[in-house]
Formats: sequence, C-alpha cells, structure tokens
Amino acid sequence: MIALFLACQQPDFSQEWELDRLRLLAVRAEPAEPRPGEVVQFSALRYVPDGAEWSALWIACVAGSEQGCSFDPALLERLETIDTLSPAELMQLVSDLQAAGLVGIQPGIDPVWPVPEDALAGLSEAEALEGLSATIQVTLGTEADQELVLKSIPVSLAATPNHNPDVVGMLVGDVPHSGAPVLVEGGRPIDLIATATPREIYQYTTSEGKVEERTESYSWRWYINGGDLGTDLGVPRLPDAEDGVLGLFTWTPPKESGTYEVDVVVLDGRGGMGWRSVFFEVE
Amino acid sequence: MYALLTLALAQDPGAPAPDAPPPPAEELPPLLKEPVLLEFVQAPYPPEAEAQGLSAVVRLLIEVDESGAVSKVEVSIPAGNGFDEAAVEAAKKFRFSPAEDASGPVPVALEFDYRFELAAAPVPVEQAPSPIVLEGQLRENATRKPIPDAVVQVLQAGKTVANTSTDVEGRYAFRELPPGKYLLRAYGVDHPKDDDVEIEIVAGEVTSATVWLTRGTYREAGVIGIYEKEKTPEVTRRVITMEEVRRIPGTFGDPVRVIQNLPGVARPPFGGGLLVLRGANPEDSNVYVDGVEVPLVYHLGGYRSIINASLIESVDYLPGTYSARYGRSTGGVIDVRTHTEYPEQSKIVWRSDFLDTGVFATGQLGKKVGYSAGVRRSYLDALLGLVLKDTGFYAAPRWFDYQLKLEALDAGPDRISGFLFGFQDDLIVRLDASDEPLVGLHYSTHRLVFHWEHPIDDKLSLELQPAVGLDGVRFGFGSAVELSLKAWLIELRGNLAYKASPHLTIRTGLDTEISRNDLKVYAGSVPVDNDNPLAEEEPLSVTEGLWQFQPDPFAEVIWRPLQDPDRMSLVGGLRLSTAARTDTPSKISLDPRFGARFEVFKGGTIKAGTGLYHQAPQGSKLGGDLFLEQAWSSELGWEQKFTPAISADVTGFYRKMDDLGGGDNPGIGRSYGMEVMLRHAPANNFFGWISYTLSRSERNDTPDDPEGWYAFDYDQTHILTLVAGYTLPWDFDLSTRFQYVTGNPYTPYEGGLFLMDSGGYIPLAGIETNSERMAPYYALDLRIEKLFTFKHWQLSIFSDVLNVVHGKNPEFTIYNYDYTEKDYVQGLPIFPSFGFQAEVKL
Repeated sequence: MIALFLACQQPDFSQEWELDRLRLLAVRAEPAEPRPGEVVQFSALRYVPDGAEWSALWIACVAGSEQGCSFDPALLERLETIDTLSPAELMQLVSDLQAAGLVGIQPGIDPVWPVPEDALAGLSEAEALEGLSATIQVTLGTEADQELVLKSIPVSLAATPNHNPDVVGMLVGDVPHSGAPVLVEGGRPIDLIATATPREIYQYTTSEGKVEERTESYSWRWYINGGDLGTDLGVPRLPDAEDGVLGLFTWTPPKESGTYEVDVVVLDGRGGMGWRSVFFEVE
Repeated sequence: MYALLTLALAQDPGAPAPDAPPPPAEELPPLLKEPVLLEFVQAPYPPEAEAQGLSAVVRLLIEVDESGAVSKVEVSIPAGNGFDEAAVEAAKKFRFSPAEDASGPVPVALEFDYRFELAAAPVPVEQAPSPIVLEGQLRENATRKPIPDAVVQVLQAGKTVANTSTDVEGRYAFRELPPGKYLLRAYGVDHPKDDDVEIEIVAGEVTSATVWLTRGTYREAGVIGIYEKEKTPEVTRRVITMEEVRRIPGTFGDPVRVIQNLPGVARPPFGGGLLVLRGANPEDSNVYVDGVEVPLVYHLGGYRSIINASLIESVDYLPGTYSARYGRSTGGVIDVRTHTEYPEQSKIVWRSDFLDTGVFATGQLGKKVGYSAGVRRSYLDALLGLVLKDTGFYAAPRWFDYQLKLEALDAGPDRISGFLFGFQDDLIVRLDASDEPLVGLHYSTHRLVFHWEHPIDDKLSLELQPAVGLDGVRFGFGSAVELSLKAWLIELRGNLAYKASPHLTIRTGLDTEISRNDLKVYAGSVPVDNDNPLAEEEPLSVTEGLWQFQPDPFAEVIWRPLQDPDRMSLVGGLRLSTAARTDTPSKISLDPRFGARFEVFKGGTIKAGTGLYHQAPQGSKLGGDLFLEQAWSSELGWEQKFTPAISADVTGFYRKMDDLGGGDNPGIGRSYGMEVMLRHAPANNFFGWISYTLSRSERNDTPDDPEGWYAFDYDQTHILTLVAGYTLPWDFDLSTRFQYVTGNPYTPYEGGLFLMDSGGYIPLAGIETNSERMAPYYALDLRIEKLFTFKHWQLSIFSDVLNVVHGKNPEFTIYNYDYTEKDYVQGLPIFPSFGFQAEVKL
C-alpha cells in the first residue's frame, strides 16, 4: 500500500542529471594513485550557471571521516581578513592553512597536494601495497549557492598503480564529435555514445592474502542543462569496442533554441576519473 | 440495580411469555453471562383454585444478586385466586447462576412466568383424540434452530380461532380445525412476529407448515481488550465489545487493530502495524497468541492481524505495569486470546474485502472434540498489479495465514487443547523489464501449542503450555544479496496456583524460551572496508548459529483483603529476567512488580501500579552485544462508572528507560503523560468513546548531558480518537471515527554532501535532533453495514470510507537527490472499500 502511494506521489523534484545549479561534477587527481611524497595536482569539472563568479576551497587529509577532513573554522575566519594582513602575517596564515590541510583556493591558488611522507606510516608492507584512501574536500560556492564534495584518492605503494581513464571519443548520432558545437533539432531524441580508454588490469590482494588480477569496472554519469533523458531505462549495456569502453546516453534536446551542454564523466571505480563536455545548438 | 432483562426462563413445564413487553429504555452494557435457573421450587397449588379447576400464569419480576440468590420478587402480572402469593413464595427460594458482565458478577432483574396447570383429567380410553389437521415447526432464519416456547396462532377473518405453543423441538399441532383458509401467525420472546402464513385445511388431510422467524438481533456481545481477570487483576484494563469492534471504521473488523483507537497508543505512519505503546520503541512491546510469543501481530502493511478475527475471543491490551507473568519486554503487551467454546451447531464464516478472503469454521466432532479452523489469503498483489501497470514498477505484497485448534470436550475437569497456527508474508518488487525480483522479502511464523489445565484439588491447580515454533526471514536484493534467518523455538509456560481462600492466591511459574538462530548471509560482492569509498569488493558468505536461553521464573501473590474480595486487589510479583547466549556471558535481573485496585465507593475505583522490566536486545540490536534494556514503569489512575453504560478512565503514567543501546551507547529515555477514556457501552442502539492521550516521550543518547534530551521519533503530544456507532432500523449499522494526532517529530536536513566516488549525496542533518514536526494528522472515517438474514444463512455487506474529509495528511518527508528540496508523502486520500461476510450454521 505504501509502495502504491509512493509510486503515485513523485514530487516534481529536480533530477541529479539536471544541471540547474552550481555543481562540482568530477575531480581528477594526477597521478591518480600517488605514493607518499609525490605531488598531486587536481583539476575539476564544474557547472556554474550563467557565468557566475565562483570560488573553491580545497582541503586534503589522509584520515578523513564520513563528514570529511577536520578543519578549524577559525582559520577560515582569518582568511577573510587577508586584505589587512602584513606580509609576515600572510605567510604565517598560509603556513597554518597548509598545516591544516588546505591545498588550494580558487581562483588564485590551484589545488596541489604534496602527499605526506608518513601517509602510510603504521601499515604493514602488504597493507601499504593496497594503501589507503585520502580525502579531498572541496567547497565550491557562488554568492547564491554552495556545493560540498568529498573525493577519495588512493595513496599506496602498489605495483600497478591506478591511472585516470579518459573519454577519447564521442559519437553524436552516428557522427564523431569534432569538438565544435553540434547543431541538433529540438525535441528529437539523439543517441550519444562516449568512448573511454581501455580498462586497466591490476593486482589485488584479497583479505585472505590471495593475490589476484582484476579488471577495472567503468561507470558513466551524464549531465545536461536542458532537455530530457531518454525514457527507455532498459537499454542493455553496450559491448566494449576494441579500442575502449562505451557509454550510451539518449538525450532529447529542448525545443527552445539556445546553446546546451552535455557532460559525460567516466569513473574507473578506483578513484580515477575522466570527462568530456559537448555543446549543442538548438535552432 | 444493574439491569432489567426480559427473560422468560423456561420452567418445567415450559412457560413462554408471548406478550412480554419490550425491554425498558435503560442503558445496558452487555452481559457476558446470563443467569441460569439452577434450582426450581414447585409452588403448592392454591386449594381453592384447584377445587375450581383453574389454571394460571403469574408473571414475576425477580431480582437476583451477585451470588445468584433471589433478593426480591414482585408480581408483574397477577393472576389472583392465591396464585400470586404461591408463586412469590416459591420464587424466593429459586437459585440462579450469577450473571456476569466484563467487571464480574453483577445483580440483574428478570421476568419469569410462573405457570400453574392442573394435571390433565384422565381421558377415557374409548375417546380417541381428534386427528391432527395442522402441524409444523418454527425455525429460526439463518441458524435453522428450532424455536421452543413460541406462540402459534391460527386466525380467520382477523380473529384468533386457535392457539398453542411450540415444544422443545419447536413443533406445534392443531386439531379440530374445520376445513377452510386460515392465516398462521407465530412469535416468541426473541422472535417478533413476521408476516402471517396462508394455509388451507382440507378435509381428511394433514396440512404441514414450517414457519421461519427472524431473531430480534443476531449480534454477539463478546468482549475484546479485556485483561485476563480470572487469573491476575491487571492495573489497567480496557473493555471493548465485539459489537463495537466489528463496527469501527478503519479497523476492517480486526479486533487487534482496535487497539490503535485506545489511549496510550501512538498512531504509526500510514496507520500501519507498528505498536508504539506509551512512548516505548515499537520493538519493545511483545505480542502473544494464547500466551505464546510471536514476532509480529500484523501482516504486511499492518492492515490485518495474523489471526482470523472469527477465532479471536479477546485481546489483552496491557500498555504499562503488567504483572510478573509477562516478561522479555519493556514496553507493553498484547495477548490475543482465541475462542475456547465450540458451538454444537457448526458454523462457517466466509469474509472478503479488498484486502483478502478468509474462511473459518467452528463446531464439534462427535461432542468429544471441539474444533476451529481458518485459512486466509490476500490478493493485494493482484490489485496492485493492475494499479501499477505501465508504471515500470511492480510490487506484489501477499500474505497467507492458517489456524487449527482442537480441544477435548470430555476431559472432565481438565482442559486439553492443541493449537496450530502460522502465517507467511511475501513482498516482491521488480521492474517490469526484468523477470528477476529487485527486492524479495519473505517472513513466516509457525507455532504448535499444547495447553493443559488440571485442577489437582479444590485449591491447587496446574497449567502447562509447551509450544514449538519456527520463524523464518529471507531478504534478497536482486542476485547480489541474500540474507536468511531461521529461528527454532521451544517455549514452556507452566504455573502452579494455590487459592488458599477467596482472598488469597499464590502463583508460581516458569516462562522459558529456548531458541536456535541460524543466520546465513550471501553477497556477490561487498566492500571490504565500509569506511573507504574506494575499497575493493569481495564475495561475502556468513553462516552463524546461536543458541539463546531465557528461563524466567516468576511468582506472585494476589491478595484481596476486604470482605468483598472484588473491592480490592493487591498483586505483588517477582520475575527473574534472564538472557543467556552461547557466545557471551549471561545477564540476569530481578524485577519486582506491584499492582493495586480499590473500589473506593460504588462505581469509583482507584488503581496504581509500578514495576521493573527488562529485555534482551531487540530489532536492529539483535545479535550484537548481550545486555538487558531496562524500564521502570508506573501508573496511577481512577475509573468511574457513571451509569451502567457510561464510564470514564483517567490514568497518568511514567516510564523511565535505561541502557537502551547497551555497551558504549547506554542511551536513556523517558515517557510520561495522561490517558483519558470516556465510554458509552453498546446500549439503546448506540455506542461510542472518546479516547485522549496527552504524552511526551524523549530520548537522550548522552546520559551525562542534561541538554541531550530530544523528542522520540513517535512522540505525539495529542492523540484524540472519537468513535460512535448507531444501529438503525432494518439491520443497518452506521458508525464513524474521527482522529486527530500531533505530527511526528523529524530532523530536518540542511543540504547534502556529495560523495563523488559512490555517486550519491548524504544528508547534512540539522544540529538539533527531531527539532521539527510533521503537520497534525486528522481524518474522519465512516462505515455502513447492512445485515441480510435468509433462511439458511446471513449476509453482511459493509463499506468503509476512510478520510471522508480528504485531509491532506503528511506521513513523512522526502527529499530530492541532494537534500535541497523537500516535500511530504501524504497518507490515504478519501478511500472507499467494500466487503461482505457470509455466515452459515449447519
């Protein structure tokens, strides 16, 4: 009975695939699976509506909780007084922020994280091969909105460290995407097929100590800022192509003319991410 | 004086009172047991009347006290000629069995026709009786029972030309009626006259006519929701008759669901099956069937209890300070009692509504064995399939239950019975595109119970009740996850009662439960570290077995210190609450309990109780650390009977809860409040009650922090229920229910945190737990029922219309994907349902 009423009472909520507000869709760490002492650079896929001014605060920690890294809010309050600080005070603040885990403030300081040398301290050799997950906490904000995100990246001494996947191709309908905006007809569904780099094979030591070779499992996320999803949710999984892994999405462009954005993100399940954005013009 | 009954009790020979007046318009609560004439005294025939050859019938009004003795006799319809005085003197020496209502023996008044008849004059052998020209039988519609002691009249041209009365088999006969057309008229004390029957007497032939009469009322007046008064006087007792149960809208005629209309019971979301009694957690209240613990009292969704309503005799609803006989719970107790009487005339009941169909039969096998059997199956899965067609979503809930009870009827003073019952519920959810269920849930319970009561002597009695059972739960999520839990149970309840005097009873017993729990979990792949979003996955296969042993001895003393033992009862008890598992040290606690009732003046009773209660971890805490949750429960109240039908009950309660989480998360709780019930028992075609609860239930997960208290998830400040029913002419019943309940508290979310690797948002809860409340719930429900009586059976057709005013009742909040948008799932809109019940007596 409850199921019946739930089925009949779906509120008109915005959907996760709808780009209708500030979003941080993907974060990519390079290298994807660093060793202690290595320096990691981050890049991100954002959606910022109407070209609004945005800022991002990046914090990293090795042992984060479900709620992210612990960070003293008083440091952020000091950050707001940055214009009034002397050079010495500014240097001290930067030092304090870095010690607390701050790895980037955008715009201005792009996120870069030197992985602590002692990140794997206390782990056995076997455990260090599997490593642990470090937490990257990103606060993306505009004047009107804010998005809180936790991203994990593995830190290990793995013999076969992870690499990020890439979206290497896109078929719009049956036509390879060249990178330029694509002209489409409003209201007419169109299939988008993304191709990613092949899955990696890596070594995993099971909890029983057995070493086995595993193949990554990709998942795809699609986002649009107009139009609708295809209604057929029962689309079978596409077989992989010889040169990569395929992700499919059926998009119905809106009937209103304008420029629209479709973003596709591929995840390898080990913390690696890649993405591609395609822009469409509806006549 | 309790009541005025119009009973024409049969004496030998029978003396019907055909013209008995209708019952006077005085309010009557239902009698559970009518008085029976045990000792008839033959009056001397007045000599003068005998000499004159006079016969007579004297109608008497006899008052019978609580012990069954005649306290007063008055002549209601005199006959003169010395008959009246003789009848009164004889009737004063009558002896009756006491009449009883829900509160015990009560005084009653009844009408009695004392018949004086001279022995028939010897009939000369040569004078053969006139031949019978008209004969037949009176039978009752629907039940087919013969109607004895009824009046049969033969009329012609509007005048009575002959009359007689029926014998014990309902038969009648007329002689010496000349040929011609007549009208036949019949009526009895409980059977008003119906249309006259046309007959024709033909010379030389015997005319035969069976006359069917409809009984004035077929409604039974069983009792529901009463404490087990003959065993232990519980502090709080709530009495609802079956007549009311059947007619309360929204309960679907289910006696157990009626409890949700009584004080102290919170309303669960969607009116479902959770039992929240006096602010306790739902899993902290225990449910029993005939004293045997069962894990659930309702089928899926909480709309139907697991026992066929036709089998239920009473429901003990003990919300607070119950006696030492019950344990393993810190909340309340609900004990569903099944019938222990089996009619000589077998009965079959078929009931269907939009939820399910059930068949029930009861009767006797050769007068040696009584039986009751029922089976029921829902078809909600088929109906939902139609509704959800083309939605891309398929949900199929279904349930099935069965009961078979056998009892020896020739066991002398012993009572020996066996009861097999069980149920199975399934829920399958799948997407249309896939044959593979997305979610599968199955649970089942089966119990086999033997019951033996043996009076060792006139003071000592033994009661033994061994039971075995099997509970099963299976849950599957696609082919990825499968969980099954199977529990074998052995329960033994036994007690020895010594009734030293009407004022003192000592009872000691053992309430033992042994269970073997086997858990199997299989998952194709689960993360090896739940805290790591990038954790690798491995297959999981777990098999665990666990023995649990809870031998709880108890003892109690029931002392009735006053000369009238029913005026005051004091019950002191001790129970050893135990919990032992094979994998951890045992836990033991001694629980003292005390309850008292005292009738301060006629109709006014004060009641009080307090006690300590313990239970092993329940629900989600099962299988973790072994500890004993504790509750100290107290109540104080007053019951007032204003008239025989109108009564009130005001009770204050307080419950203090400790060790709710055990181990590192001790957790404490408290609930307190006041319950009020103003009730009009069924009388003068009306019944109804107002039930109101004002309460507060709180929890504190950090006991050292006095600021840590927050409202419990089901805390409802005001719970108001109004129920009323009226019986209209032509067997129409109309009833209504209004409910107003404060909305449940909830913790609002202030946005979400995006976990980029797993792809979902987790809510960021507000700082204060349960700081907001849902809007209040209100609904008006209506029910109408029409009873049709046919020669061989009866048919009830009923319709419940829920939420007539179409109240927009939010049941709980839902959020969008990132917890930035909020809406409410609303409860039932205006919702009509229909059903019928057919009853055949063989």
